Amino acid sequence: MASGVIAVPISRIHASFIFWFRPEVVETVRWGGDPRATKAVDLAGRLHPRLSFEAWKQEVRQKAQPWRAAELLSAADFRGAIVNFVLQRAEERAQLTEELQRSNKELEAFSYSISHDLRAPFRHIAGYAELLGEEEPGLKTLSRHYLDGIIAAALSAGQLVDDLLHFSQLGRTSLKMTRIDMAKVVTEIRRSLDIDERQRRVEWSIGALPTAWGDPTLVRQALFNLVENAAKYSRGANPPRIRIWGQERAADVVYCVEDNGVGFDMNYAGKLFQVFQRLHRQEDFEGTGIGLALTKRIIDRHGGTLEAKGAVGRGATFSFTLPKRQTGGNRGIA
Amino acid sequence: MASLRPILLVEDNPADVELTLAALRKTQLANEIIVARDGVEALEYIFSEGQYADREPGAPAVVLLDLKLPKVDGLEVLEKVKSHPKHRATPIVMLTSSREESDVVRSYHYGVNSFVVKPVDFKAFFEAIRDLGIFWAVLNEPVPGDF
Repeated sequence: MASGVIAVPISRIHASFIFWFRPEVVETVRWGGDPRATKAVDLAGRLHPRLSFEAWKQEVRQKAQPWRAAELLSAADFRGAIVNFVLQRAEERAQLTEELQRSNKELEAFSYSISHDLRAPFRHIAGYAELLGEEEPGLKTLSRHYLDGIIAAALSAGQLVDDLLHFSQLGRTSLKMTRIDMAKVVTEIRRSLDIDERQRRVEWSIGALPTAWGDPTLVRQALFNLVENAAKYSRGANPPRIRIWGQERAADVVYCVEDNGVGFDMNYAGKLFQVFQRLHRQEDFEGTGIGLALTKRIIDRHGGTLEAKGAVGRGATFSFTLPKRQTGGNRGIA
Repeated sequence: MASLRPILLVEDNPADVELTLAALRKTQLANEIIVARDGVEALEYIFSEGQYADREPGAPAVVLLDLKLPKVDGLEVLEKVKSHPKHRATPIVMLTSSREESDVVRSYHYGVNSFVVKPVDFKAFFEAIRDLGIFWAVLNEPVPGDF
């Protein structure tokens, strides 16, 4: 049993201590007489010296050796070492934070200049090409084709810039967390996809959709990207089938979007969530390759996970988790 | 009638000046278009100072203001005009290439009348310019009297 203790405070602000314990030393003390025996009287009522002054042994428990000066000094030294270490770590962390803030600022400036300086020339190219076409209504078919190529290229470059900017802004805006009615979100998404004539043939199967906790605008966007992808990559199926369902689990809620489309090779699954990475050719499936990266970033920022399962020609299933209730899922910078 | 108030286009990029003028021309507005190439020129026109000291009095029908400008940038021009007791009713539309959220927030904070991000698609850009021109130069009723 530890019976000796030194408590060394480390911090003035936090209740942090270093404790030193030393073991109990059981001692036997030999007394001249039992101090508790006030009377040692025999049957006749006489005091009996042999009983009164009988040697009495007491075991002393829960005592330890006194701390020696050298030991106290070691404890103080150890505390000094820890404080130095903690201070050093705090300094390193402060420096790291500063560096992070600086690189965030740089990133902000970079995305700002992309949005302004890079977007402008694409606008100009598209604008001048359009005006040239208007000035020369009698262009040869091939010349008109080239001109249209210039316009289309400028528009898609402009779209890339917009997508990239959107992606970078996503990491910087703070989340406005609230309870989300996912069934309603899915209904809205379906309605906006139905407007696109191509998606009308889709056979939908919507399962139970428990509520989640998150930023409604961002979660809607994350789910929209998945459902839009499901519709896009299954449009060749006959008929396209999209199944959406959710399930409450112990710590979170998982949502799945499954389609019977072209699927993907699991060997490239890691590339799915990277910005501007595409597994299909532009002429087969349109898009800039930002959608899944956006979805991943949104789910990451909510402290959830996003997974993809699929096989070539056999459809794909994307599942993601969201917190069930208010948690520490709000991470400032993703 | 507001129809003969000029439109002030504040734009430093020559390509943007040309494309915006082309779009305004296609709209066939009768209003004169004044082009200011930086923030200082824009303020001189609005406040009738410097090279515009002798201009005909009156606020423009609308100021189409770019954000990034040499010397004095668009947000500064906006703030100076909107905090000026005499000129703050001048309609100002931010017409910019950037959809940076903080710019939008700050512009509204200073009292911008509208914030338009120039579409990359020229047809959409033309429609935006046409709508802005018709709204501010024809439909909108300005504060009565010259200021």
